[in-house]
Amino acid sequence: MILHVTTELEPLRCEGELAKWVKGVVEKRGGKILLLGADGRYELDGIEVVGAGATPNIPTSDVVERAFLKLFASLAEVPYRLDPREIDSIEGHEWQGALVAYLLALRLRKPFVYSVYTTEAERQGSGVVAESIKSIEAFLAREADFVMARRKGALKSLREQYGISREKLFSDPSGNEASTPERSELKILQVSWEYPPHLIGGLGRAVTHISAGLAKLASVYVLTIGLPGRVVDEHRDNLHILRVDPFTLKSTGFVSWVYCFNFLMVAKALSSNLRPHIIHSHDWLTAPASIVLKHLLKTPLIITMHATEYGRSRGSILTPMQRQIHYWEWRACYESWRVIVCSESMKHEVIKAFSLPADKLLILPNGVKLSELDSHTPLRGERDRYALPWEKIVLFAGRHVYDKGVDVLIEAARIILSRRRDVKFVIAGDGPMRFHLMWLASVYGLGEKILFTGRLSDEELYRAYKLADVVVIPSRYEPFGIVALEAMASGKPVVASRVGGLSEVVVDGETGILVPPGDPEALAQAIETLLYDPVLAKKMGATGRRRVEELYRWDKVVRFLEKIYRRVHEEYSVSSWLTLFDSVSASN
Amino acid sequence: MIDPLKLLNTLHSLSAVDEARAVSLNQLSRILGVDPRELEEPLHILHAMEYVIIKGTRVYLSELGILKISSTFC
Repeated sequence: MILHVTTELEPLRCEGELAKWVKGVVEKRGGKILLLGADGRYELDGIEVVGAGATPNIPTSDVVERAFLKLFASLAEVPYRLDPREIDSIEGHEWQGALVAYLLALRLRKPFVYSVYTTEAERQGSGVVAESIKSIEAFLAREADFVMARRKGALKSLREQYGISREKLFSDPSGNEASTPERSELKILQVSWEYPPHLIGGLGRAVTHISAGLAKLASVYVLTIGLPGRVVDEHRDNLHILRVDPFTLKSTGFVSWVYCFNFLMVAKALSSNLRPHIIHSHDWLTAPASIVLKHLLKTPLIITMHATEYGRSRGSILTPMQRQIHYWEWRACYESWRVIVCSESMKHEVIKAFSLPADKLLILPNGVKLSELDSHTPLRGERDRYALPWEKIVLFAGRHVYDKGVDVLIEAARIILSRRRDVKFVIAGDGPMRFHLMWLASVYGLGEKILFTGRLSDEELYRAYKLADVVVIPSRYEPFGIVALEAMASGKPVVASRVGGLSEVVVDGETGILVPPGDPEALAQAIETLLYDPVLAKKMGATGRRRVEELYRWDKVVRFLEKIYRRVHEEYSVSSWLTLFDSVSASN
Repeated sequence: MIDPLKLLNTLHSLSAVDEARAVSLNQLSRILGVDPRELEEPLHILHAMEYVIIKGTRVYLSELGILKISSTFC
């Protein structure tokens, strides 16, 4: 039996001619229809139609975003609506239907047919949306076992504009020889958009350290994205890094880019025949892929919420982008067996934002790899890169976004520098506010006293901590504050805002000074206190180091995490979770 | 002048991330619906910040430029 996948069909959805065309094809070739974006089941002139589930009612910016939203929502439902035993091949009609058909065919190891009626190139669309659709169509045509041009115009376009040969032969879809996993060994799939070399903030570091530590206790697969020229899989003992090229498809903006690489992640996991015991996802950026894999592979999902849009926006979820992020964060928390957060304040935030029961949440702090941090000592002459010999160094490290409060630090610098000139402010990192912050420093006439270093490598940053006299974290929103931890581990006193996880990591008066967020006067005063009382600064630095050694070490974090995985796996083993895909064997 | 960040985002959407996938300035101006001359200044800024690489009449994002976009949204 052929399973036809479409977004358009009478009488529920027939915005264009596609509905008529698809019905005609199914009448001729036979089969069942999976209708995306619709609920229920019905019969259409003798054809069985199964709704793949409604698309979440949240605003999107364009048709590409909408199509991917529909795809992820459908794939999470299909295992409960469709019995795969009678399916021989899967035919996707037009690009939206074909995206879903492609992943289903990968999961069920069935031939994938891509039916094309018109192409975006034929329609001569322009702009980023058209470019994105063209790239998706080209990708699907490349990946299909067979491309069916349903109209003459499409045939011409596929041959001439997409370079597809007229007669595309079936390949062997069962060629993957990966073995069935042994149930005795724990296999963990970490799904993260950040992993070296694509490292942005604390999330990536957490996933890197967790994966490396876990690989000593279990088999770890990290599904992530690569950077151009560095999209290669790596296999080191028990650690397997699987990368997708996030630029395979053209997108229409950041959200659709995220959807594109999530789609590719699902394809990669299915074609690699991964059968993990636990899927551990990180933030909303990999939630769509993780949720779909949870249902297609019937595998428990755990999510770590490193931050939330609700928290970042102080509860104002307004734009289509924010609505989609908030939706995926809620959905991931809802779908997960356990939700991990990094601090008590994040626990309260997540409970409030998503109305989660408290017993679903676990607090697992971030950590520091002390041996790695300790192994980097400043190079000869490196201090001169940052400051003159008589200048004290105040270090900030982080993304240049509003939440990090770098502008507050510049205001504080202006106050301090109006009183004394022996201080240099070193601002490491990058971000959308960088232009504005550099302009601000210039307008205040502080150009020589504030150094914007741009992005520093981990090694450079570890050395910079050791050169600093004080490390400042002036955040307005901070779920955890890994920079505070690294500074403390480097034996440096910290001045931080009394927000989120920072007020749990930094002990006021013992390992640093906490100040109200967004208060440059208080920040300036705290920085001066530590700069000009070296005895106090040294004492706080030493206390901070001891606190990190006792509470925040990755090896401790990893051991606790492994216990969580085993507990969830045990609970899953005795659960009564059933899907219609259970009839398909694990390796098929 | 076109906002340099908008230009950066467009290159990101177009997957212009290496020499093979670089876009021509003409193509870029057509997609953005602006005169190619309007691209000169923002491209100069982005090039100076090492976010883009310009090879003749073609342009693409550097690794730093890709990370810049990622850091904008997380």
